[in-house]
Amino acid sequence: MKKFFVTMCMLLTMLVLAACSRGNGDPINITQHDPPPNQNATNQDDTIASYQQNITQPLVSEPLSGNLTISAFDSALMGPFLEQAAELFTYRHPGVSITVDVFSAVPEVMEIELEDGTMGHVMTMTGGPHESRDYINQINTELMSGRGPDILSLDILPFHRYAQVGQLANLREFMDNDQSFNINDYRPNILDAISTNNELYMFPITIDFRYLAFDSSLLTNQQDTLTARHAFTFEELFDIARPFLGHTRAGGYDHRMIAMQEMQLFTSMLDLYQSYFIDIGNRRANFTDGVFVEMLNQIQDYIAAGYLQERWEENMSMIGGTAATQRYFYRLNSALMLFNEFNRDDENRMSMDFGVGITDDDLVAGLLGNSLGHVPFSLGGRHGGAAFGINANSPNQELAWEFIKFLSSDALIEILRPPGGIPLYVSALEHMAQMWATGQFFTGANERSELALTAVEQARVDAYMETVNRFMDMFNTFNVTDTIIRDMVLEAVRDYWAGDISAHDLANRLQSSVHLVLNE
Amino acid sequence: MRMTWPIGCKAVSTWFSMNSIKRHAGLLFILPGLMGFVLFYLLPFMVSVWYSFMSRPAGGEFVGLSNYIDLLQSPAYRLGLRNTLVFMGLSVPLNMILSLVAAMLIKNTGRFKPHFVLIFLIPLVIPSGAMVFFWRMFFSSDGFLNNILSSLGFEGVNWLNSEYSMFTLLIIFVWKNLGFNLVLFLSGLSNVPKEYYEAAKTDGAGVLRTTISITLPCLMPITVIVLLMSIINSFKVFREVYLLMGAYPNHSVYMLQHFMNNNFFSLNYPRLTSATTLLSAAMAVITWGLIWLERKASHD
Repeated sequence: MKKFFVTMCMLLTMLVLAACSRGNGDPINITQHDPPPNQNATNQDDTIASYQQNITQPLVSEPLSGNLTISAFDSALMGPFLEQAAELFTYRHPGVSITVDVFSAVPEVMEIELEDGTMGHVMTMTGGPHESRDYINQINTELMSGRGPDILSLDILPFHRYAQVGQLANLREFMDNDQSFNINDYRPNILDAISTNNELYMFPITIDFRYLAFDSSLLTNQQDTLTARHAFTFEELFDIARPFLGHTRAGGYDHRMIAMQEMQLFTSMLDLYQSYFIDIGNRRANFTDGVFVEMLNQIQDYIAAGYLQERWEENMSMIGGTAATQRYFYRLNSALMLFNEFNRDDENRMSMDFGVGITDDDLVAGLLGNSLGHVPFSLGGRHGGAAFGINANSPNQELAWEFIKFLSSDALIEILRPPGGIPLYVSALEHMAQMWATGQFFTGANERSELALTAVEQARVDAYMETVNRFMDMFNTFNVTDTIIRDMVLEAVRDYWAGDISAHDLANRLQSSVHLVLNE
Repeated sequence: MRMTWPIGCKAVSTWFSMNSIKRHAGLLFILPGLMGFVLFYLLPFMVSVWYSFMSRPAGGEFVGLSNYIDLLQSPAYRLGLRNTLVFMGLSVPLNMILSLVAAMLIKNTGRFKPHFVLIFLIPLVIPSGAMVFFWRMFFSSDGFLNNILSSLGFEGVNWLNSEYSMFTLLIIFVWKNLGFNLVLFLSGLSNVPKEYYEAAKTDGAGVLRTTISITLPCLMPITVIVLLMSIINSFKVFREVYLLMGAYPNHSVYMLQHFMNNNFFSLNYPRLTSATTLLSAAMAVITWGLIWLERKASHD
C-alpha cells in the first residue's frame, strides 16, 4: 500500500512538472480577434495606390525609423482608418513599421432582398458591452504592467483615469519642443479646454458639436437675433419663440419648440452643465445646490407646456411617414451637416434627413451654451471620439507624436476620412470644405481631379469657414466623459421620469453617489 | 556491470531512493499544492505588498507609507470599512445564534433530522447567479415582497437602493450561510458526551441550565471555528451585493470589497494594494486570535 502511495505521489509530481514545463516551448492558445474588416478593399487599394503614384519619394528630408504599435477598439471605422494611415505613413517613412491592433469584432455584412426585389447589404455590429469592458481590461493590464501599445486610440478608453495615474505622456511637452508644430493651426482654445493644469493627455484629430438651426418661416422677425451666431441657452431660445407658439398651432401642424424628447433634452442640458455638476479635476459633485433640481423642474414645465417632441407612442400618426405633422422652431444638427446649410442652391448637394432634419426654411443660429457662459464641445466618433494619447511607458514617444500629427494633417484628410466630427487642423477642415463644395468628398482618391473651385463654390466655402471658425472660437468647455458617472446619472434619472423618485431625492442620491465615485 | 555514479548524480540517486522517498512522501504530496499556493497566492501577495509602497506599479518610486496615509484619509475607504464592520457585527452573531438554535432544535427531531439538514443546505449549492435572480424578483420595487406589503396596506420599500439595503443583505447572508454553520454546530452537539446530560438530568437540571452549563461550554471549540468561518463568509457577501446592486450600491451597503474592486478598475493600484495589505493583515490577526482562542477553549 505504501509503495502504491509513493508511486502515485511520484506520478503526480511528474505530472505537475510536465505541466509547468509545457509553457516553455509550446504555444498557448489565446483568443484571436478577427482582423479589422477589409470592406471596400478595392477602393482602399485604389486610394492608397493613387496616393503613392503622386509621391515618388518620401516627403521629409530626414525619414523616420522605428516600430510603433497602435491600439484601437473600433473595427468598423477607426481600424480601417488607422491601417490605411499607417500604410501611408510607412510609405513616407520606409524605416517605420506600424502595427495596428483592433479589438472589436468585425461587423457582419449580410445580403438581404429589398422590397423592390433587388439585393442589398445590412451591416450588423456584433460586439456588446462585454466586448468594450474586455478591451478596457486588457489595456489596463498592459499599461499597469509597464507595457502596452505606443499609441492609444482613446475612443472608449477612460483617458482621464490613465492621466490621473500617470500612464499617458503629457503632449504639451511634445508640442513645445516641436519646431514644426504651430498650435495656432490646431485651435488653441480647443486644446486648452481639453488640458488640465496646462497638461494635455490626448490629441483629438476631429471634434464634434451640434449647432442650432431655426425654422425661419416660423420666426421671420427674429432672424437678426437668431443668426447672430451666439451661444444661446434653452431659456433664451424658448423665450424668443414663446409668443409664436399659440399662433402657429394651425394648418394641421402641431408646432413644438424643439425636436427633442425629455430624455434627449435632459442629456443636452446635462452636457451643458456637466462641468458644473461634476468637477472631475477637483473631485467634487455639485447636485444639491438647487441648480440640478431647477433643471429637472424646467424640463417638466417644458413637457407640460407641450414644448418638446411628442413620443411616437403618444402620436400614432407619426408612424407611417406622417411625422411632418409636427414642426419645430429649433433643431440641433450634427457638425457634419453644417456645410449643407451653405449649399442649398446646389442641386448636387449632399442631403441627409432623419425625420426632423434640415428643411429648406432652416437657418443656422448658433450654439448651445449655459447660463454660466460654458459652451461645450465633444469628441466625435461612433465610440466617443477620434483622439489619441501616447503611452507614458513607450520607448517610441517621439515617433508616436509624429504619427499623431500625421493623422491630423490635411495631407491625410485628402485621402482618408477620419472618424468622428470635423478636423481640428484648420487647413484640413478647409480642404474638406472644398471637397464638399466640389462634390469630391464622396469620390475615391483616384477619381478626384484638381480642386478648382468656381466663384460660387468658393463663396460657399468662405461662408462655411467663417461660421465654423466663429463656432470654434466660442468653445471653452470640454466635458470629460466618465462612463461610470454618466451611466449612474442616466439610470437615476430614468427612475425620476418613471416617477419612482422625487427631484430632490434624486439630487441627493446623485450627490452622494457621484461624490463617492470621484473620491474612491 | 557495476555503474559508477558521479558525485552529483549519486546525491540525486540517494534522494530518489525508495527509502528516501518514503521519508519525504509527505513533502511530495504537499508539493503540488504548495507550488500553487506560492505561485498564485504568496508571490502575487508579496508583489502587491511591494506595490503598496510605490507611487505606481510600473516605473514608480518608493513613497513609504504615503499610500496608507492617503488610504486612511479616503472617505470612500472609511465608508467601506464602517459598513463592513457594521455588517460583520450584525450578520455574524445573528447567523451564529440562529444556526445554533436551529441545530439544537433539529438535533431532537429524530428521523426527520437529515431532511431538515438538507433543507438548510440547499442555499449553499444554489449558484449565486440564480440566487440573485430570485432575490431581485423578491426585493425589487415591484417585486414579490412589496406586492405583499401593498396588499396589506403598507407602502412599498426600495429594498435594493435605500437605507433598508443592509437589512436585505442580512436576510440573504443568513439564508445562504445558516446551513453551513448548522452542520458545524450539529457535529459539535453530537460530540457532547451523553453522560453529561444524564448526570444533569439526575441532578434535576432543566433545559436552560443544561444548555448554559453543558451544551455551550462543550461547543466552545466548534463555536470558535463557526465564528471564524462566519467572519470569512461575511467578507464573501460582496459577490451577492455586486450582482444584486452593482459596483456602486446604496451607501449603506458599500463594502470594502467595493472600494477595492472599483479601485482596480480605476487603476488606482497603490490605493488598492495598500487596502488589500491592510485587510489581509487584519484578517491574519483575527484568524490568529481566534485559533488561539480555540486552542485555549479546547485545553480548558
